[in-house]
Amino acid sequence: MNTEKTENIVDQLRHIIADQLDVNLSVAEISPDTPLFEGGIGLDSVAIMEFITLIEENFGFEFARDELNLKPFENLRVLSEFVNSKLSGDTASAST
Amino acid sequence: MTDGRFTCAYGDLPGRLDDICRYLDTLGAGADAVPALECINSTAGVLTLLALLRRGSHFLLNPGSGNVEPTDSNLKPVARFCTHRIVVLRAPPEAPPDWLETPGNFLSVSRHADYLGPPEACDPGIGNLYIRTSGSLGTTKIVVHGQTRLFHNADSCLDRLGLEAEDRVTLPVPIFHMYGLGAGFLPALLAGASIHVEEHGNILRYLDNERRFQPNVAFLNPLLCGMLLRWGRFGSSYRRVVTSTQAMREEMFRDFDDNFGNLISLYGSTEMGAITASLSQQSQDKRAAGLGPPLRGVTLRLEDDNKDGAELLCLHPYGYRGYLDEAGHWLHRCAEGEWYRSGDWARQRNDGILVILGRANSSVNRGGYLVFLGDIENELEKLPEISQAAVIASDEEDHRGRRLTAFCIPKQGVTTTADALRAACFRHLPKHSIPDHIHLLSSLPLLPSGKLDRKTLLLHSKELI
Repeated sequence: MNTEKTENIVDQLRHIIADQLDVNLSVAEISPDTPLFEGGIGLDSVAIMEFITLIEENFGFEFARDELNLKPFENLRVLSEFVNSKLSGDTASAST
Repeated sequence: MTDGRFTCAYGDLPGRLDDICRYLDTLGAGADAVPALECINSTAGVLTLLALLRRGSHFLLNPGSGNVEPTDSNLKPVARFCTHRIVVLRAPPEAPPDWLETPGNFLSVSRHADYLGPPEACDPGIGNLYIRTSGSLGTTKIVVHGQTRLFHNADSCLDRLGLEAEDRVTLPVPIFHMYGLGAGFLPALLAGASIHVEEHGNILRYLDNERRFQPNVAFLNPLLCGMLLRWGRFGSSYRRVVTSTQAMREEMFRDFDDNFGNLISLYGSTEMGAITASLSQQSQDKRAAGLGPPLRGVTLRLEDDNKDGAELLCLHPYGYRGYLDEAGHWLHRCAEGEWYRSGDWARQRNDGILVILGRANSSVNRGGYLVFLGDIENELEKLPEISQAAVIASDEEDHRGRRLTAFCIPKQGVTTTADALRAACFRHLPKHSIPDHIHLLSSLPLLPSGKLDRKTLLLHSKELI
């Protein structure tokens, strides 16, 4: 896979969480492999909603209705691969 | 009933509940124990809750984190009249399919070290449910519900909401609060409906489960309604959607009603359970504007006939029995025929529709939690940097509710910044109580009477944002 690209996206996602979400976490505290919800980074229902919106704004795409499920949001590494496939127009792998 | 992973059929309920009771007995938490149940929205949580209700136990219902070690700042203490702490555990990812069949897998039971003695409301024969008010910061009171009345109230809800055995009801709202329990879960149970419980109101999980469970009835709150409007599957056919009453904008109400199905607002409180709801057959105009007639047996009146609204008072045949303190002493015991002060301002329209205008005192609803501004001020003033604090709720709203601005006077000789104080708030306050903005002042504006001039602060807060 395109590791460099997804690493770059992971970094952008970490910055979105640290700088734009109201969660009081620093970039250093957000690891790409930590689950995003309870038991991990702990995004609550409001933060999740804002996070989805910010991803759409920052990367300039919209989630299709069927793409919004827990799978791509497992952790930032999985999410970055999803974002990467959306950006490269690879909808087949994007809709997993 | 199911949580998406573990399912229990109605026919298997008696056996499962027996197993749980036997397990509790072996650990010394028998029928005469007064446990605190830390419950989560899971099948295991539902079964444990039902086991305690069926045997008529007196028990305190607390929000749980799914872990023995608390990981959630919203957790409430075990009251000192509780003999045991029962924690409903979240299933580990590797749990086998028969995980739910052994109560020891999903329950952690321990004796309560600080147990003082039984609560005063603990009459033999009538099980009480103890549940805390939703005030979020230290000012919670323990509400006492007789379980017989609780089921009567649920039965009135069932009537009003028209639930049926064929329905597939989804509950992403907590079953350990009165809305999810008394207006959602118990009525669905009485109807014999299929019930799906879900943790945390996470929109992604909700959409996942919607695909699998295919609900036709949902109990939501305005926040979840908003998320579904934005990302939900339009055309998914809900026969009925119930939302808790927290000022939902009419435009959003109509939008949701058009796209998802018959939307009903339900109004109630921890003390009274469900009080009134809109009628499903009412026009969208009326349902979007407010509430229909009160539930069976309930009488409502406004304290006076002020056109701008007055405090809503309620006489409820199935309401609470009173309040207890943490040690189990009566703080208030309801007399027969006592009117309950809702603390909400309301107005009755000429066509009979009841419009709830907001809280009568200085509290706001944020993300489903009742937040008292005075509580936040007290917490801020406990910070070592702050000598005095005032918190203002603006008219503007974000996703959590009305935006909060805190004005703080630092202690003499202390240098701090608004950012540092806000970071401290994250350590000391639940998320829904954290002010959106903090401003440092050298003094707070006062009225001639010496009281805080909240109006001036409100203007300030608007200028500063």
